[in-house]
Amino acid sequence: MNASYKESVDRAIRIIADHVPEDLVQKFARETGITKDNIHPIPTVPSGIASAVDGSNSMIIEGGSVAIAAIRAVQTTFSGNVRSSRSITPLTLVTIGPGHRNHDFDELFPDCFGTPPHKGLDNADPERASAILRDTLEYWVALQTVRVLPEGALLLLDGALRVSSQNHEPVLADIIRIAQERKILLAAVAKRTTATWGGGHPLLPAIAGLAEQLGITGPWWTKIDAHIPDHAGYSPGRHGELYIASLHPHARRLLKMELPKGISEQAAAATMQALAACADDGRIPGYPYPLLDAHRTVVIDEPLVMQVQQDIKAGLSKRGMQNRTFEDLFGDLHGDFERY
Amino acid sequence: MVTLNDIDNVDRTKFRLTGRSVLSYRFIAPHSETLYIGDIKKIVDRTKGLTFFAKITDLSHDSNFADPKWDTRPFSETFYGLGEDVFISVDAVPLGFVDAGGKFHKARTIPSKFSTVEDPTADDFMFLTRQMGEIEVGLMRSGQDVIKDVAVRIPAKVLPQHMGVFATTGMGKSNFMKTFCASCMKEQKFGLLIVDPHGEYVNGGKSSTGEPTNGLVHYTEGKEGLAIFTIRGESDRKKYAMNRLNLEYDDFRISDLAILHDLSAPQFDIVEALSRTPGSEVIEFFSEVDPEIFPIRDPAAAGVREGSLAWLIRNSMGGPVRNIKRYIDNLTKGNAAFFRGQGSSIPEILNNLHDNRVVLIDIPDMGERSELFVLSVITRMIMEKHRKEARGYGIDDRQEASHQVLITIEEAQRVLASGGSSTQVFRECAMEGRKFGVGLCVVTQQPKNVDPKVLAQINTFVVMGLGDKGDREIIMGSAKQDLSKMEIEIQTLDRGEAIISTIGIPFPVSTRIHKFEDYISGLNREKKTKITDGLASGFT
Repeated sequence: MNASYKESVDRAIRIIADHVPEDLVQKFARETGITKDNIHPIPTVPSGIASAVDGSNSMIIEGGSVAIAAIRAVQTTFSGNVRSSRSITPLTLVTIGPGHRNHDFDELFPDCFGTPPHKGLDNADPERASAILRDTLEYWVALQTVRVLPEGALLLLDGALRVSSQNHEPVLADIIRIAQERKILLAAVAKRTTATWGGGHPLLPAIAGLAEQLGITGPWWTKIDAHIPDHAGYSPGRHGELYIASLHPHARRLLKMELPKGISEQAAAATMQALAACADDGRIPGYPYPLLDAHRTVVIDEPLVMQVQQDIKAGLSKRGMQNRTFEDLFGDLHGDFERY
Repeated sequence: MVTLNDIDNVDRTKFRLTGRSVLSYRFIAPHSETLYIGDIKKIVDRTKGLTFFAKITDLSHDSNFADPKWDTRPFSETFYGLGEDVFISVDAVPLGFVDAGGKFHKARTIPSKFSTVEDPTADDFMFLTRQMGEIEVGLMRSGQDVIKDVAVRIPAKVLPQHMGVFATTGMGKSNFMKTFCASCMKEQKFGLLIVDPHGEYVNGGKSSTGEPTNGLVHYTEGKEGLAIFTIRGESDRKKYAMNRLNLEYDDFRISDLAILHDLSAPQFDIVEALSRTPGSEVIEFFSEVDPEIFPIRDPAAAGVREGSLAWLIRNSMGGPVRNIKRYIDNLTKGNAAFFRGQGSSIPEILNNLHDNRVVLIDIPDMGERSELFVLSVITRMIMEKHRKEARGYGIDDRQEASHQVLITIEEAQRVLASGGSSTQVFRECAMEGRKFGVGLCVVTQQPKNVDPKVLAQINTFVVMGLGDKGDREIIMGSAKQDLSKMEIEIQTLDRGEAIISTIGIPFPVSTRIHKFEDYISGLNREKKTKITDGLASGFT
């Protein structure tokens, strides 16, 4: 391992190349049995009502025993290509630590869902804890949205139909159940995927190559059976099934998405049709625009983080805490490094 | 308690001030908004209780996207919510602000962040209407539209401090001048002299676009303010109550030749030697003299007495004398229609000018040399008269006593170009005239060919569309108000539009010049207020 730089680059290239063999497409077709019949074209229809939910979390300050993160979630709804409503939760600061159990989660969860979490949230990993706190808000917003959307509307979630915390298990199940009861199309769309098959071969290049080899143009979708991905056996918290789609003729990337487990091919086709209908925006063609709008609305970016940091500093200063003490508690040298 | 708050879908980011400095404003407008260069906007600062005014100087497409090529990637024609992030970025130059008391100030402060940008109404320009002068030339323009009820009037008191009218052919220069004349006839605040070699000012003709036009005589209600001196026949003179134009030989000075001809150094020596001699003597001398006797080696032997004109130029060679003789011969013969031994209209012309009338010298079909000759003679006489008057006044009453006269020089680059000592009378007028109440109205389509020292003396600029960058730059550099931010507007001025910059009005005003025919038609309809109106008509 302790080789020269060039040797290490060569090694990295070799590993990547090994996972993308020259006969990747043929191998994929042979081993998965996916044929042209499994790849369904998506007809062009006008966009209907589509709602997207997204959340954001960002670490504001991090000390030895305590960290403070900001979280919020948003829903944005489009009718045609015009936004009809947009709502957002207030920017909320959550505390992670001191101690093992996260007390903000214990408060936030019942606030959102009316019942206490059946298992607490551990503070051991602040990043993970803040992400689960964000998920809590995001699921709550999704729950509110799925209850009011009209029949036939599309509800888009960011990521997957899979929970990261067992506490959210019944919540996600509720969202899926209500969606199916109210005939609302539901899809969770991932911005990126590391899904592999056949012991480490990337999934998306394989299926993209296959579609091209089969001469498929225009929007299409296919379902990936559970046995194909390498991690198919890992199922806790999973409520969806894997689909790959190209939603626009000029889409630069395929999208990995999850639709509720067990839905019919007809329901999947209707969902894909609704997805493609709102994935025609010129900025990122092939990605559902409502999700982009939700992301742009909710994202807690660097300027906002700095503003919150300043608000906290100002509040502590009023209470008599000197900047030096604040720096001792939460400062690190990265800020100083960035000046040079 | 967790809440989900609606985000207002109403877009409040447009039409509010976002930057930048005391001398430059920026705001954004919807991408589909129709805005024009030159549009005037009102910026209402409710925090400070001030109303700022700004003129749009540039428009550009802009967006909130980090990707500068978002709009050139041909993936799709569809854009969701385009108007939120895609907009027109508007640059504007501040004109000034009005305080709560309605007083106008120069833009020495900046509006509060996010002050609203609105369309002004005529009421908003009350402050400007109060500061306008008397000589109405058009209506204030905001972009493509005019602001009705806001007439642009040049203050009469600044006009003798020289005025420049700069426009290329076909931009409405003649229409402006006639409108300006009509307004001067109406107000009679100063005397205005115009020499017209084309005969178009009297009763019109055809514009550069071929349309029939009216003349000053068609402004019948303003005839008291007009005096015409013409060489036309008696029937025309009677029909339009015109005076006969006469210049007598003594009105002429030999130095006038310098304006009409490019004199060589030897010829100039002759002109200098005879510069104080009355015109009639000069003309008589050259009509009789034999150039072949020059140079005169022995004056006594040649019968040339000491002090005579021949003696004064005795060292000149025969050639220059022959040329001067020919020039004078041409001058007298070419202008015989109005130039004669005795009988001059000049005193009457001066009287009319001092009675604040527009004096039109109408010499149709007489050519450029005749025009310059007449102009040169009258200008010199005006300057002499005003100098003489000024010498007679005391320190305190000098300003009040002076008559105010504005002399129009069309194609002024002919006589006010750099380095032309031959056009001394006009140069003196430009440099010193204002001290004696004499101003120049410099009309040219080539300002870059006018001496910058002359342009620097001009206080009122009427800019009517200049295609040449050099011309625009020289104007922007010479104007007393900053026109540099208005270059695009100057470049895009349409026919009949002007930017008027004068020290009497607080900022350069975009103007739609009245169409002369419409303007005088309106003036003719106006019932003149008689001096007896409002007075008791009998004894009580």
